[in-house]
Amino acid sequence: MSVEVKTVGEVKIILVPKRFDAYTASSVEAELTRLINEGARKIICDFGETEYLASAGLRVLITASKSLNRAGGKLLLCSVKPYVQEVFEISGLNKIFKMYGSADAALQELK
Amino acid sequence: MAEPDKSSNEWFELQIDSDLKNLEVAAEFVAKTMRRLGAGSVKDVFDVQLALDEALTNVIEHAYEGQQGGKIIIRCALSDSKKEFTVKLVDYGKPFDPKAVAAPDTEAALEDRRRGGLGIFFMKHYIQTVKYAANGKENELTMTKLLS
Repeated sequence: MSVEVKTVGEVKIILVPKRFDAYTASSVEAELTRLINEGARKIICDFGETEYLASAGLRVLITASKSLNRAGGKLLLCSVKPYVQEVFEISGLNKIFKMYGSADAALQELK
Repeated sequence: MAEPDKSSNEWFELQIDSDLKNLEVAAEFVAKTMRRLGAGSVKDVFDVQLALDEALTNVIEHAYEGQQGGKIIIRCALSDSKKEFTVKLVDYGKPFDPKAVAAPDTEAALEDRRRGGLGIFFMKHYIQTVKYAANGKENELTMTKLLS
């Protein structure tokens, strides 16, 4: 499956699929890896369309965030819905990932 | 403790191939069945879907080692008291007991996060009872959710 990416200046915004499960995770991971390899250092994962998040999705975020941190970059999340937010909380990852109410708010942070 | 609950005789069944593409098909099947039976809240449906999704991912990636063509049977039922919803997964791959996997450290910093263990941790979080049985031919995982 294809993953949509929006570019705003030097920031890349990935539109996370409706279901971020083990099936779609590989496509999102491939896209994140490509962007990072091509030099992107500021990435926002927009969860506005995402209704479902499984552990496979979290693993992709952990891996991407680690490589961006090492490269001096940042991975931010935005527009996370309540049930999806709970998945972050259960895994304790809400304390690790920075989350914003909207893509604009996340963009402000990266300016 | 949940009070003893007589199990229902009415089971709904779906057979899928061991392909990650089918995670969505399985999630839809369980959601549709729960809604049709009036089983639980929207949140209950989400919880069961998440637990099923993690369990199925394990079966596909471990029992069938990521190979397509393996048979997986999903059976689900609402108990007579309508208080419990049970989902059973049957596969014919390598035995893989999710209960034997160590829980991840949810307080760990990003750099110390391992890749595995989270899915099973979620399964146990969202579902009250997880049972596993392997008899050499088939493996059966039974998950029971106490409905809100």
